[in-house]
Parts: sequence; structure tokens; C-alpha cells
Amino acid sequence: MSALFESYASSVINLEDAALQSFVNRDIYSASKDLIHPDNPYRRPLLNDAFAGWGKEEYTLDDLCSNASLIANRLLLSVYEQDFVFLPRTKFDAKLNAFTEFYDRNARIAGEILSCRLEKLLFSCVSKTVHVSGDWDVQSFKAYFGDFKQMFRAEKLSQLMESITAMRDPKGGARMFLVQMSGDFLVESSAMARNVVGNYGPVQSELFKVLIDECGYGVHKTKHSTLFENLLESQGLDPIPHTYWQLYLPTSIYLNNYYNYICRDHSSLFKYFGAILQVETAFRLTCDIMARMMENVFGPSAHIEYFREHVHIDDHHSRMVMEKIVVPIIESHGEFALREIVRGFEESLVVGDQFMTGIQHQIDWIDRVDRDDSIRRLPECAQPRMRYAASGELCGTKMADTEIGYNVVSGCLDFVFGIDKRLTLKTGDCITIPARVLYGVSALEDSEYQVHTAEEHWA
Amino acid sequence: MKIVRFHKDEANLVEWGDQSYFVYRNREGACSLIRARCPHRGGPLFLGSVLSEPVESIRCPWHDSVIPISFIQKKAPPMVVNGGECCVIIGAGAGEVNIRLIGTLINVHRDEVDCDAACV
Repeated sequence: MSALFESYASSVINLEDAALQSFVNRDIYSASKDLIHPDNPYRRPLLNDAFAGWGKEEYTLDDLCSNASLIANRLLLSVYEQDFVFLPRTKFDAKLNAFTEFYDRNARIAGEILSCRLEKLLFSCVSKTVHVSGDWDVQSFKAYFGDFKQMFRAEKLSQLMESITAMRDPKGGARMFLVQMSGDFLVESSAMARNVVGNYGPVQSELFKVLIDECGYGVHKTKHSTLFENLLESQGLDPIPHTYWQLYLPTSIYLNNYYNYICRDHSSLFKYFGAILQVETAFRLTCDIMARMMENVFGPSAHIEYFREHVHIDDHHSRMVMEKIVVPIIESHGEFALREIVRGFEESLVVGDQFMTGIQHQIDWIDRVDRDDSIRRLPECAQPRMRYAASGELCGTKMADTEIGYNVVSGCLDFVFGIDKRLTLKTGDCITIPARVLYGVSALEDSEYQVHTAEEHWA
Repeated sequence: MKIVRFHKDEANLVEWGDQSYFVYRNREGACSLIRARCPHRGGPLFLGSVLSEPVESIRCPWHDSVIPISFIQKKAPPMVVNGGECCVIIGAGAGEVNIRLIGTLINVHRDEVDCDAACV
């Protein structure tokens, strides 16, 4: 039995490895010399290095800011979004191959195989962070929910908004923040739409009411994603999904992936009800905080209707989800449903917290670069590795797993850390990038440089 | 109803009226509240020992009663733990609720069949 199981397990691993190769070896997922890909939602560079964390059983919450997490999250979002319809706005003929590759049948099969592995890799840690126990009922849930509403202050978000406002370049920071949200907000409600199909009674219709609010009642200019597009355009950003794919932080994609994960797997339906209750309840306050930051930083040029609309409608959505979905489903479906709702509510907090931590770290780093704050040194390293890059080569954005130093021996390297956030190093210049920061390097001319690193994160 | 919040490193015993519960962590690391007193004669279950077979249980140090965890969890107050943060919902009419940290006293002994399980 054991030998049979081992043989089966080995076959599964081989199958997953084959699926990974099959998936990533498509042109749309290959490395790119360009940092952004306007009007091409299929173009998504995936691998920026060896997939160091692929062999792990599961990641910890701390691992979510790693390069392996970036790769895993990019992969999983690409798999999930095969379910969604994306069309470029212009020159479709030139992108026909990308369209075909993205929705290709074999890619879907490979994606299904990969998603099981990636979900375990990425989401086990969230599941293990939350424990629900005891004798729950509707009354205790209402007390718990009421306490959350009263106590919720969005401290981490407020801290982040203060950090952005205090940056040397607050507009650059705010634009980077918008980019992090764009992966989710430009396809808003697509994940949840998976839960309004089927037949499960009156609650289904209540969820549909929330969905049609999100979709602007079929009037395109009031669709929430359209409101967010207006905001992006008002700040000179491209409103097409995933133009800034290479600038997404792993924790930002993770937030997006989490909702896809619990909405795609219908055994997580109750968990989703808990998660949406948490989000709709918190969003009223968080959108108000974000709107104030945008107004402060961008001034009257910011089209912040997206946030103002949520401040208004999510008050209703919170009540609708609680009274018309959560309470009825607890009464009709009992203890299992209730525990899952509590679990989803708390997991949503964990994932939101990770999002906030990731962007706070990047924003702090970008500001340090702008202030030239003790970045031009090199970490201790016994044997720095010599590297060579030809002019125009971009390594693809990646996460620094450990502190990493670059020393330009000859030539010229261009570093990118955010939207329009570049730093050029010439011969003799050096920089040390801290762990958990996203960065990209390109050679502006043929260059040789040394890389100084401490021990490998995944060694 | 009352909501009591605490970090599991700061408290492990919740008491009100004649009720007393402690925070128990199973071998997978999942936390739950467990009655601190044995249903037999009120012995201190939080000083008991954990058995993993045939079902996860606590042996009371007073009379060696073996109580399945699932049984003593059944009427426990609802609790959700997120990271280390515990949130307990206590029913109406509970009166004053005390939370306490009992250090070395509240150790479920690890000398039985399975040594992985322990209370927090």
C-alpha cells in the first residue's frame, strides 16, 4: 500500500512539474524586456529566476513576501483569470496569438493541475492562522460582528496613508498604491460572480443584488471598475488590466488570489460569505481613509468617485450581507456554515493585513531611495558574484529574499522600484536593497557588476 | 453578551461566575477553550495529561477520569483565534469576567502516549 502510494505521489509530482513547464513555456508568460505592457492583459512574465519555493509543502505567512511567492502568485492568478474575459481595446490582430495562448485548452488543463498545488502552497498558512471553536450560534455571531464594527479602526491602512502622504514624492507613492489595487479593482466582482450561479435559494438572489451594485446595474459608466479606471486615467495611469503586472507585489496578488480561491472552490461558499461580510463592513471606513489620502496627495485632479461610491454603498452591503445572507444561512445551514463564516471573516483580515504589510514595506523603501538614505553601501559578502548584462537586458522584476547589494564595476544599471521610480547606477556606484522589496534591473549599456548577498533564503 | 479579547501569551484562563475555561492547543496547533474543571468531581483538568488514543482526551489528575476533548469542548463558549489574538464571546448574564495567565500551573503534562499536545 505504502509503495503504491509513493508511486502515485511520485507520479503526481511529475505531473505537476510537467504542468508547470507546459504552462510557463508560452510566449505570453516569458521574460520581457519591457517593464509595462499596455493594452495586453494576457502578457504576464512569470518566472524571473528559478522557482526556488516550488518544492516546498506550504509557505509560512513570512514567506509571502518572497520571490517564490511572487512567482507562485503570478502563476495562480494567471490560472484563475483564464475563467475571465479580457479583450485588448486596440490592435487585436497583433495580439491574437496572445489571446489564443491565454485561453488555450492545454493551458487550462495545465492550470487546473497547478492550481491544486499552488493553493496548498499559498493558503495553508492562512488556514492555520485561524482557529474557530466552541458553541457558536446566531446571537454569539451577532455579538462578535457588532464588536468588530465598533472596534475596527483600520490602523495599518491609516499608517500606510500617512506614510504615503509624508513621502518625498507622495504622488509616486500614491500611484504605486493604485497599481497594487488595480489587479483586483479592474476586474472587480469577477471572482464573486462565480457564486451567483447555480441554485441555492433566496440567499443566492441577495448575493446577486450586491453583484449588480458592483456592476453598476448594467450602466457601464457606473460600473465600479469603470470608476476605478477613471481614477487611474486621472493620474496618468493605464486603465487596462495588468499593464503594470511586473510591478505587483506578491502580497497584492495574494489578496486577489485569495478571493478567487474561496469563490472558485464552492466548498468554501460559507467562508466566502464571512469574507465578504468583513470586507463590505470594513470598506466603508477604509475607502474613506483612502479617498482622503488621494485628495491630499493628488488634489482636485483625482477622480475619487470609486471610493466615495463605496463609502455609501458598502454601508448597505454590510447590512445586506449580514441580514439577508449570513443570518439566514446560519439559521438554515447550522453550525458548519457558521464556523466557516467566522473563519472566512478572520482569514479575510489576515490576507488584508498581508497586503498592507507588503505595500508599507515597498513604500518605505521607495522613500528611502528618494532621500538617498544610507542605501549606497554594500553588505558584507565573502565572495561577491560577478555578473554581466548586455545593453537593454531587463532581468524581470523580482523580490529580494535577503539583503542584496549591487556594485557596478563598469557600465550603467537602471533599477526600478515602483511606478516611474528609477535609480541609475554608473561605474563605481553601489546600492543595497533590503529583503522583501520588489525591484527590477536593466542594463543601459553593456555592464559588469558584482552581486553581494547573505545566505540564500530558500537554501 | 460580552466580548473578551486577549493574546494567548498574556492569558490562558477565562473565568466568570462558577465557570472556568482554559486555552488548549492540540497537536496541529489549533486553539480552543476547554472546561478547566473535570465533570466528575471538579478536578483541575488543566493539570491533567493528554492522551491521543483512541480519541484525543485529557486524564484528570484527581481520579484518572479520561474525558474526550470533543466532549469538554462541546459547551465551551465560542472562540476565534487569529494568530495569537483570542476573541471569546460569553453569554448574557455572565457578570464579571476575569482573564488570567497561569504560568507553570496550567501545563497539561506531556508524559503520556503522545507528547505533542499541550495547553498553551
